[in-house]
Amino acid sequence: MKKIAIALAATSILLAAAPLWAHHSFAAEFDPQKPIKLTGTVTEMEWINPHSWIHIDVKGPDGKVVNWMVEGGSPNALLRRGFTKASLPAGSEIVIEGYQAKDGSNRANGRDITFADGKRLFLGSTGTGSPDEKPEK
Amino acid sequence: MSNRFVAKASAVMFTVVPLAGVLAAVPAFAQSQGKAQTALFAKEAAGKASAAPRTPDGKPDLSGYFTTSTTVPFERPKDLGAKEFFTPEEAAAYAKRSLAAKAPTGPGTYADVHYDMAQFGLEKDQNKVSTGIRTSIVTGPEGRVPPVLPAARQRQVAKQAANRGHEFDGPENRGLAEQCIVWNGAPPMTAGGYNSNIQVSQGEGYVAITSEMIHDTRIIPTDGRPHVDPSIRLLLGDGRGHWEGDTLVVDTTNFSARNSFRGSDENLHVVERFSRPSADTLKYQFTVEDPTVWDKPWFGEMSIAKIDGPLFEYACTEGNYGMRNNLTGARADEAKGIKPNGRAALGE
Repeated sequence: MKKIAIALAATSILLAAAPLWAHHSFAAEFDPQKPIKLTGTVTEMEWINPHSWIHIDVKGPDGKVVNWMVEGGSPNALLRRGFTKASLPAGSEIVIEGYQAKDGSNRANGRDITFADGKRLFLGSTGTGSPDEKPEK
Repeated sequence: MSNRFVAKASAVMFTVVPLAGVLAAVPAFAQSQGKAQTALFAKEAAGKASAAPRTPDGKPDLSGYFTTSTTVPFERPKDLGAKEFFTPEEAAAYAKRSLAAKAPTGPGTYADVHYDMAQFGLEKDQNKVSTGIRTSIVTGPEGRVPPVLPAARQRQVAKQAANRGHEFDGPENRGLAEQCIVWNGAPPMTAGGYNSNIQVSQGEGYVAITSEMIHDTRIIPTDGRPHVDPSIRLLLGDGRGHWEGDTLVVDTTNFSARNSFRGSDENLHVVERFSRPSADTLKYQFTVEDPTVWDKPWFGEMSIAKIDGPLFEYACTEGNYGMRNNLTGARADEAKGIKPNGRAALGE
């Protein structure tokens, strides 16, 4: 009987795991048809709620430098994870994979962000409903 | 913000409540809860001593920083039927699985959630969280919020229909959370997706409860004054507290229908009971009724775990680029002849 109850509990875990809501919708804001990969230099990180935003200069194929802004997690949670203002200083070389804003402007959400040497920054995002989402574990 | 502080905060906040410690207290709790799990709460014996610290005026001191995050689901998963309590072993297994579980990522499930909290925030297994032997926060045989009355359902459907196709017309068409107006600060208190932290402040004649999200603060007089005039409707409701022994009882009315809780209307009436069985825990019970929405009151109970402070600033409006992005996204879709889809339209 005990075993049955635990098995039942296991099936219902995933239902319980989903947060009540997110602040806003990936689907409304970013375009799943516009995956992007940006390599550039951090110019600023905005520690603002509800989401942090990272600004980077990206040199295009034509040599022209364009500034992009990329959405990250809530500063409060990042701070509690040990992320500080010193963690991503201006001048850092980073690579961002994410999805561009629906309106085609130079804004994106950051699904994955790594330093130029490949070291991961835990700003990476999954669970956004993006098309190449892979189930976790 | 000094590095010393950050190191301290992060070290503390990473701590998960040790399951063994929490569950060690389970047998006594199970016994007392199992005995008389009626719809109404048994009142605490007046004057009963508790382990809680006390304020200079002799009241139990409920103040401190806490999190409403818990492994106990709000409503009981249907496959658990009428099972209201786990055995301690089942509870331990459930809590362990719940902490390890990540929300599904497939379309239609986690698709509209902005980020995986394990990457962008603090998942339950990275944060402090309460556990318990209850199979749901909502108590009683069903463990679920009662069905909404037909007339109330009709009103809800009509309201949704009126906004259909206009979800992205402007900021006012978006939800209150997306507008940075109110989050989960109104009673009954429940965890949101992230930053589910509160601060309870207590002084003679008042108790205040601040939610980290959007800094919603409920200021609750405990001096016996009556509720404000019924013509005044408030997003967080109008709370009045009194002490029954070592339990703070808060009666909240005067809600605004704009800030609906699970379908509630402006006649929502919430009675909460706060006690502090130990320095590290608040026991939180609540009764919810709205006669124009549900045909009977319903009840909830949960543990609220103490955390190290402080709360951090959550100045939502100033940096709410998401609002602009949602609206410009909708304009871009419209230019292509695409209507916002239902899930995107929900936005929260």
